[in-house]
Amino acid sequence: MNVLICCDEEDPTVGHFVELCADKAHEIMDDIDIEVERLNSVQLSASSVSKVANRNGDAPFVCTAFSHGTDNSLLCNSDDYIAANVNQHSFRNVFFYTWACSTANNLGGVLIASGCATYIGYLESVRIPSPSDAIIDIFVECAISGLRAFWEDKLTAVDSFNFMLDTFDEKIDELSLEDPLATSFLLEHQTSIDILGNEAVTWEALFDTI
Amino acid sequence: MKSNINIIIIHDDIKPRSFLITKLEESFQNVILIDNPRDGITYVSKHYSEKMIIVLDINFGEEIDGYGVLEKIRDYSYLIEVVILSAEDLPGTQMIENVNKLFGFDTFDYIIRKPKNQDKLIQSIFKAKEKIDNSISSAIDKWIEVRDRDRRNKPYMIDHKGKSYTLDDIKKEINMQTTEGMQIEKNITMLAIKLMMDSSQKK
Repeated sequence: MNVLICCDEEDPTVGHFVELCADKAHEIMDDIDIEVERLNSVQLSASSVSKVANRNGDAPFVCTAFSHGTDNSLLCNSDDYIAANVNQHSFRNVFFYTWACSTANNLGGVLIASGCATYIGYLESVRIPSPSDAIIDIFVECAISGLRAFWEDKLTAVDSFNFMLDTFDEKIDELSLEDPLATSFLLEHQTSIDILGNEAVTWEALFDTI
Repeated sequence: MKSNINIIIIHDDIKPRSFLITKLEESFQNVILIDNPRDGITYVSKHYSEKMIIVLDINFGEEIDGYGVLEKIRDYSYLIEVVILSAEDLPGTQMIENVNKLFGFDTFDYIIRKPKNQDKLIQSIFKAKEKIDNSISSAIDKWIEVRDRDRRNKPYMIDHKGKSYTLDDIKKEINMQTTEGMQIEKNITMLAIKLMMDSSQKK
């Protein structure tokens, strides 16, 4: 496995958004050379994630997770599926990319301390547009832009992160005239993202460590 | 063009055709005189999400006085500007006591009702209007108000706890100065600063 996608698409509040993010991630990683494994709401639990991740041993992979989150864990149906004191050792040599509230506060650091290569995630709780609002696509595009840069443009982790910040800047500029309120939520996302761990890692370097 | 900020005068000793009301009607679309505190509170309970300046008497000779009305107003909104208009010209210590009772209720001004203070009162109301017009909440209000009704009543945003808000809900949260409302105001301020900085860097 090269890429693990975790998505809580059945969550009644953020499901619509995280599903779009996961689908977009799946779409951009859809390459003949990449083996993608996807765990959706019904499969998401600490044991199932650990089982899939541990099958890789110390072999590197990209883990993407789209769901609710807290300082210490990623959640599906209020249960931890990746948590600071549960399965933190299952992500050694992993490029971890997540959309979830607050996980960069502690979970990200714990994963890095447990051998995870790089962690990109959010420090704060953020707001998202309703499912019916077309601007949701802009939020998805921004949320996925760092992953896209890391894979498609083969940028380093930090350059991918900076590309993500630039994408937010560009979309904030475009959307501010049309919908300043939604733009302020987009800014909330931008100021909340954080990168931890190895900033110099690239897609190739990550998989060369096998 | 007349301002759409409602002027509500809750006072038992002001005549409907007084100079104050006539003067204010020249600049404001709605100037409403309410002569007792209970009706004043009822009005606020139904209209607190609208932009409003209240001119409030202190002594009504009823069980609820102006301070009680103010307390109720603040249960509904901290964005309503309140100008106290009291007939009492009390000795220094009592006046301090009265003003202290207002502490924490965020009143805009305290004016003693005297003929010579008429202009001062009108000026104070116009300053309160400027404060409302120039506020972030007013800017958001204006932006929401020009959306069509369908747009305003459709779910617009979901917070991190999963609560859904329409644009009108957001307007209420801001007017009530709830945690969510204040965070949204802060976000808009941050956005304004960012856009200003980005624009000055581009020049």
